Amino acid sequence: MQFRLKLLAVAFLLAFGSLVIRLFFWQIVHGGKLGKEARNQYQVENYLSAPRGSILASDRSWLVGRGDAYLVYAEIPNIKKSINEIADTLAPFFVDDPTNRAAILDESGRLKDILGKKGVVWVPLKQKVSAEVKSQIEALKITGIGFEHKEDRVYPEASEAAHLLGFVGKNETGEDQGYFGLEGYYNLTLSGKPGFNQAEKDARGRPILLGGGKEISAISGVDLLTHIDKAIQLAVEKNLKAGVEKYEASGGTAIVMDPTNGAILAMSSFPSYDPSHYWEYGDSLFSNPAISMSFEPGSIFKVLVMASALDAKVVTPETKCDICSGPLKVDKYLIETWNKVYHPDSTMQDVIVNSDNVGMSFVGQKLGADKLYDYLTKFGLGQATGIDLQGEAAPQLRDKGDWNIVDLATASFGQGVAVTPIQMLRAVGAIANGGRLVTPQVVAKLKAGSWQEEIKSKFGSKVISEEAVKEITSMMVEATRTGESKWTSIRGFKVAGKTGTAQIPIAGHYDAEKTIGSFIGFAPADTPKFVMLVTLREPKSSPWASETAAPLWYSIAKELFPYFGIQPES
Amino acid sequence: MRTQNSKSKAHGLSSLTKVLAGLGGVVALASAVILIVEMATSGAELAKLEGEKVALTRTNNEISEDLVKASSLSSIEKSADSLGFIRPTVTLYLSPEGGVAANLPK
Repeated sequence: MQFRLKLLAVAFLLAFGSLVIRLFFWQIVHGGKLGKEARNQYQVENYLSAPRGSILASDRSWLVGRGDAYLVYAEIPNIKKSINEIADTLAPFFVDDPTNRAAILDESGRLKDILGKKGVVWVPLKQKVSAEVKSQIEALKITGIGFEHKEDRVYPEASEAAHLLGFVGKNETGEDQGYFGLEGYYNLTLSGKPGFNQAEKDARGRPILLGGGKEISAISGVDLLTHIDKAIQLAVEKNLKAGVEKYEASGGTAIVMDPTNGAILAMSSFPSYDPSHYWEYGDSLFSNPAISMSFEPGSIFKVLVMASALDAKVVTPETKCDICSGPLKVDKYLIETWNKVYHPDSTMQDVIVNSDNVGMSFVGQKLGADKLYDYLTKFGLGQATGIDLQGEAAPQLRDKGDWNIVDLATASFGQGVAVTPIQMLRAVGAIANGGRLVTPQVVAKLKAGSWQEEIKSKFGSKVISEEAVKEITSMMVEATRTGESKWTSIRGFKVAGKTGTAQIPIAGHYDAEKTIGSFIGFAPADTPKFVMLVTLREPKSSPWASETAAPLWYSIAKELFPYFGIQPES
Repeated sequence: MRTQNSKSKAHGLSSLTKVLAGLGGVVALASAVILIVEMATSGAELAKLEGEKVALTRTNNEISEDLVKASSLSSIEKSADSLGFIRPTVTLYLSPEGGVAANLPK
């Protein structure tokens, strides 16, 4: 009896001992690994994406909105049908035109390649598929094909204002990131802050409330309320596109700004791209020519030089040019007028009306290189305008003191200096704004729910006096009425404007045929509601701006006059 | 005699305390069980509500997207054209001096 009891005790002891050893093995030796596996089974962690902010027009309608899209993926081990069959079934859903057999065949081939890769378990098949296409694919009930929800950008006006808006692509870590335009400049503001959610769930995926959990809510991105007026934007887009085609130009740009506060009302450039399919276009199309294209402005620059000379009082509107009777020799170069016609004793107004290069050289000589440099700097040239768009270029002016007599003469009529369209618009906008410089601005307010913050206009220093403003404005009005572009002006409306035909410098000389035609102007001249710049690159129908950019400017202005309630003088 | 009475009273109190403590324990245990059962079913309820929230959010997103697309000025312009609306090409400006209608004395 005693022996049997002892035997039983030993047996229990051994059993207990082995249990302890086993427990030690699982709990201590493999505890970490098993704990992790268990947590993977019941603990669910979710990344909460922050909805990206919308971009709104001035009437609060959408320029860019939020939408849903899906990533179609395949779980290879779960696929039941043959790879060829799946590829042929899905291909028509993944092409833009389902009737294009060649595109379907290409897509099918691409899918077969992806699905046929060895050693792959999960493969993405197609990004940004719409909810409608998702439903159609779901209806086919293909085992092994799944969908992952993604946020997408919706462009209700398609490719309109593409350069201004930019697009959303992926960064090096695969996260959404805005590039170019507003998407790029305000990327951080639009992005918001992603959140995180951790909870315990049972085998059926139901939350275990006792298990605890934590959640950091995602903060939605901020909406941008812009100054862009959709009606003006569409009018500009439509006319610019038609103008580029009509004048057979390689490209064109148009910007409309409210000179009183720098609000950009419309901005468009061609050729353009579709931001919702940006990957189908070349990188060269992404940068916005309105803020990044550096060009020699030609005769539109004359208004800045003349305004500077008037402000400096080195000339008056009545001052007569005593060197305007023929070509002007400066160093080894001969300066001629655009049409080889000379106007002896021209007044300064005549110089602007006739767009006289010799007359402007006279003005340049009166002003002097240092003063001209100072005025151009005050007009904001040689520096970025500070517009709230990504990708602005700031071509530099030649350093002060480095200007020789040839530089001074050519700069007086807009050659040998480089500007961007937005710099030029800002500078002439200062004339329209009573001589005061203002920073061009696209976004008016930042808005998130009931919170909103106004972005105030940024005014710079006064560049020229009121008197100089009146004098140069009067000259510009006369230029539109009696200058080369008078044939296209709209009778009765007081427009202050100037044409400019600039040659394109190539490898140290000017191209004999290619030009950039521009027209810049504001209306009504006395109380401007808008200032607009139109440029056409390499127009083939005529090299002259008075026959290309000027009529295009007026075709847009014709739609803007009634929209702004601008009435004719008589 | 008095001491015996005190002892029996103390014994009675101690038994009552034990019974009350026992009852309290049972109630606490029952409450815990009920709470656990309740929370377990709430988990299912929560899962259902979460599912509904996701579905409603998706629907909301779809409606918002439709709204964004419907607000397209380009589409409205195309629709207007197809409906026969035409863009005014001639703008008539009226002079404030000369009225287009007036109340004439009878």
